[in-house]
Amino acid sequence: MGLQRRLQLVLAMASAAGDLDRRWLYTALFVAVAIPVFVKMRPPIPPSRDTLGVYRAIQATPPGRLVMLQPTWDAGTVGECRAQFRGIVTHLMRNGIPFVVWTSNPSSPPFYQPIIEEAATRFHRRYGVEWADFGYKVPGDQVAFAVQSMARDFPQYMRTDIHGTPAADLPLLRGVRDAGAFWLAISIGYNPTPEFIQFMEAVYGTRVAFAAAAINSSTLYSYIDSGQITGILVGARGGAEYEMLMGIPGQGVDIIIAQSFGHLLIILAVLLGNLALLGQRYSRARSREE
Amino acid sequence: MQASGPIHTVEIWLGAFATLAVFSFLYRENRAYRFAEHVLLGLGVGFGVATTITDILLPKWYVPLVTALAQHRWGAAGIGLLAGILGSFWYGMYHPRTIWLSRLVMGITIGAGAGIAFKAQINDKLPQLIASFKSPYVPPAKASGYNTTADNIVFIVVLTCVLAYFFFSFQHNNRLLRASAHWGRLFLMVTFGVFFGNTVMTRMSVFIERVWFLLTQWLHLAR
Repeated sequence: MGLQRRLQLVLAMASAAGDLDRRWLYTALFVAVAIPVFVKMRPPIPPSRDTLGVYRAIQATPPGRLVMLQPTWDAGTVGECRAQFRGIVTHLMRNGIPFVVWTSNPSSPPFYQPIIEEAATRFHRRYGVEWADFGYKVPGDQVAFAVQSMARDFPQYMRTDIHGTPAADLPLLRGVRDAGAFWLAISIGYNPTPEFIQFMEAVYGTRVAFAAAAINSSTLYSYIDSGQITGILVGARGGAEYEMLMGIPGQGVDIIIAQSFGHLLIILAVLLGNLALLGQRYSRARSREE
Repeated sequence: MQASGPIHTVEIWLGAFATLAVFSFLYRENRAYRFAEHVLLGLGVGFGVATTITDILLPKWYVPLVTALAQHRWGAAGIGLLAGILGSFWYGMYHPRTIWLSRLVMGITIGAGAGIAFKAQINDKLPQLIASFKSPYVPPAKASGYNTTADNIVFIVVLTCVLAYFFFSFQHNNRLLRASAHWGRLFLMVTFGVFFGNTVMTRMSVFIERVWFLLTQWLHLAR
């Protein structure tokens, strides 16, 4: 078979594939991302510069200084943010760095609380002394006012933790007044809170780091360049990198491996789609000639 | 900490049903999908109303107000009452004769929002503007990496070209301006490609998490 004939055949097949029912693609994607469930793989996942920025900021926390976590992820972003949060909490608990948690998403606590409790049990950390949870405190659309108020007077704004204990009575917050008491503030969610930069970093000098869904990460890089944030965990990749840094490969690593298979399929589909387009053009040109 | 027991099993089955019902839309529009969609909407609204009452209105307004009244702190009680009265003005929008009440609080809200946004934007964008003034040459002693100079040159070229693309004060007749605007558009297209790539990544992560949930937690096929 000559080269031209072969090319014609490929284009004709690609042209036929162009009419493929999209449901076959969905099925193929389901199969592709399911492969790592059955075939255990652990490829090297080196940390990126952005991930190391978050890691080093936590690592550099002076003894006794507080860290603030604001997880806003929930059911819709478990795949992106759970591993990020797990990595960060494990790092804080392992190093014995005291931290407080609050959220601006009412559906977030049932997702983040089990992760903290698991890490606290594993590293024998005491509630109220080494960490405290203030739960849902403010609606997401009022977060600018909230961050400004809590930066000015944290215990007064928070009032009580999830157990109803007044913030001022927690040993963890003894002597804490404004955002200057916090070494680092980390916002973890689909779209992290820029108000940490605007009202904490700019005013009190608190370091800020983000862990975001990949979809929102592109707009956050300028904050790294200007030094306003120390780093970003970008989507499942950031979570996987942090899990590897902590030596606790889990859901983040699993997702990023499955994602590689999904991306391969998408690249193949794009190539096939373009080939199909060429094939259809070729077929139309041939039929016009005839 | 792995939860177990009958309640956890019910949770898993409900999660699996909801996931499959939503995924069934990929095959075609159907009643299971619509049911899941309406359940989600109903749950969202109900949950939102409940948390607004239990986590916002009660602890941030009602309890401080009642406490202030009980302790005869009239100043704090007055502020609480004023907040309640002003807040109720929002409901004025539901009748033509009282709509002016809602405009009063809308004005206050817009004014406060604009004020805080102004302050926020200065704190947010000014450091970025300052950081965009980069030197096209960084001596090796001051460089943070081996490619700092190259990074800065790329940054300056891209920034200048994109700014040229958005320069609408006069026509792009000048060849240099036209060429840089053209390159600016190309750089923007690359950026949009990055955005789209990241969008695919996020959607894929969400999809994978659900697929793995079905295979490992519901069907126990592996792990």
